Amino acid sequence: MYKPKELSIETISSIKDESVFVEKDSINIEGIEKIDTFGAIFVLGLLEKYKDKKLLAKKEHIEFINKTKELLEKSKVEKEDKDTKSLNISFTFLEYIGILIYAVLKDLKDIEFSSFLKEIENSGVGSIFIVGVLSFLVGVVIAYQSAVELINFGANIFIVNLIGISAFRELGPLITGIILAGRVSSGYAANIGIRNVYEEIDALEVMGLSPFVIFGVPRILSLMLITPMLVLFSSNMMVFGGAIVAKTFLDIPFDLFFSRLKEVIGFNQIAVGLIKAPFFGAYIALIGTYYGFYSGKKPEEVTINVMKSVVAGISGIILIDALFAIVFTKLGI
Amino acid sequence: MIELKHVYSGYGNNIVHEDISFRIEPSQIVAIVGGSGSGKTTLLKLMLFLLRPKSGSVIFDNEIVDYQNQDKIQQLRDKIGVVFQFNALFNSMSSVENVMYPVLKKTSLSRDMAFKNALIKLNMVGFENVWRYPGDLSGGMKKKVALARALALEPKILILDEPTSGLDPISADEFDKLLKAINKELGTTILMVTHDIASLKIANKVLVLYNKKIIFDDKPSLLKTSKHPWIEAFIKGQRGHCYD
Repeated sequence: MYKPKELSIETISSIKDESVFVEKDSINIEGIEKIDTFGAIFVLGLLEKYKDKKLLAKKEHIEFINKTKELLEKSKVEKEDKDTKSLNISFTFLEYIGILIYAVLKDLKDIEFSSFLKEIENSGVGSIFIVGVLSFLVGVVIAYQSAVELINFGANIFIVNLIGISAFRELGPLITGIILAGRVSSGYAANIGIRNVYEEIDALEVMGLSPFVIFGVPRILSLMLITPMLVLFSSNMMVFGGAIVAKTFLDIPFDLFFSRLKEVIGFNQIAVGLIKAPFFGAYIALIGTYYGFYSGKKPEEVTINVMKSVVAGISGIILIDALFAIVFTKLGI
Repeated sequence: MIELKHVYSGYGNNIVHEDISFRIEPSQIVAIVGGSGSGKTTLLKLMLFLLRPKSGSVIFDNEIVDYQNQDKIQQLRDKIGVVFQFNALFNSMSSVENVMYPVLKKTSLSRDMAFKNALIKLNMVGFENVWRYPGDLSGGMKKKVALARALALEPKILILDEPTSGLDPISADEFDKLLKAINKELGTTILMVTHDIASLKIANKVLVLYNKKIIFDDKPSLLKTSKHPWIEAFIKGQRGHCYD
């Protein structure tokens, strides 16, 4: 049976049968020439298992094992310190909104107009291209899929109703909201989260400035303002995509398409989309900044919170949209 | 234990070391000092077999290092523990997990044994809050966890890159004492690159690198007898008085 000459990190894992060291009244490692921490842990395990047996070993090895035992017993293996986890776990989104409102009321003068304009450029102007292209493509896809069916029923002209109402009421706001949740919310969470890691947030607090007012409020206000404009742009691009498909596959000329559109799309349809938009914008900005402010001080927490902000952003947008749908139906709009 | 014989090293045509020879005996504490750009880090790379000398030989445990045999090189590296200048702790793991990590990855030992070993090593360096994450630790605490991790695999040699940089003088002194205790209790050979003249007091030997060569290889107490202008300037530096 294999009995190693040393009990060390190199030999411990090759000991298949620990009973080679177990004798009638003792644990015998007298033949061992070298022992390290892993060997000492192994022997301590044997002594724990065979409590009635005494240890036979060289004097210096007994001393080493006793010292290892002392070090092991000295360890205060407390439960994982939850206090060290990031603060955000105990914070709720609603508490954050409360803190934000309080900060705005208290430090209204600190809101920087230049930051507000910069955010309009970053979040709004920067999103125009992606919102436009994706909305146009969604319009094309919906119109094309519908056209195939409408031709069968000879109801070609109704493509205008289908595209117009869905674009202005639902799809324009929803597509814009989802794009902003992915693009802007994650950007806010990452930007503020990194500032948190580099202690910029702490620095502002030390200066007596509210980080919520400096970094949070301009973003929220700018997105509330810019989202309705983006929704309107998205809806129009969707309709434009539909008009091209209508002309190409259903032989509906542009002038007929748009005159019909005027008839079917009233103020109500456009208003439904535009009323939702500022709420979408506010929610996206709130969720992005929330996950930024409460991401903790570790870089890996920032990445996790960026991901959370996108998930919460998209899910929330769909939920808010559903709530609006119920409200508008009840109101008969 | 480690010996360099007439080593020339560098990168491409850039020669960093010219005809370097020295020997480190088992259980010695050796400090390498030198100005910025003097080749200290390159010397550490030679010791870790990350850089092959252009000529000359590196001898480890009386065997000339064969750079062709990568398995053997890895076996040699396994005998070395390293504390990096900026600690290189894994921020996603708690302190105890950082120390368990090399044992779990490099051996087939059980998680329980790796955990107990980590607790012992952390206790050995005087670190208690084992579940704390590196992000929540001070510079001195991080250094201790990095030291415990370097000791996790029972290395024969411990290499430290500027171990006291960024620490206050009291924490730096405490860390020096810790190194001395580890050297005494475990018999670990310690090789440290340092700018901190106060740390030289724990060393048995100092190597001074200057202008691609070793200009001093002796006991630290003899440093002040050197007439070399760089050594004189180094001793008279900010913390030079600590060594008077």
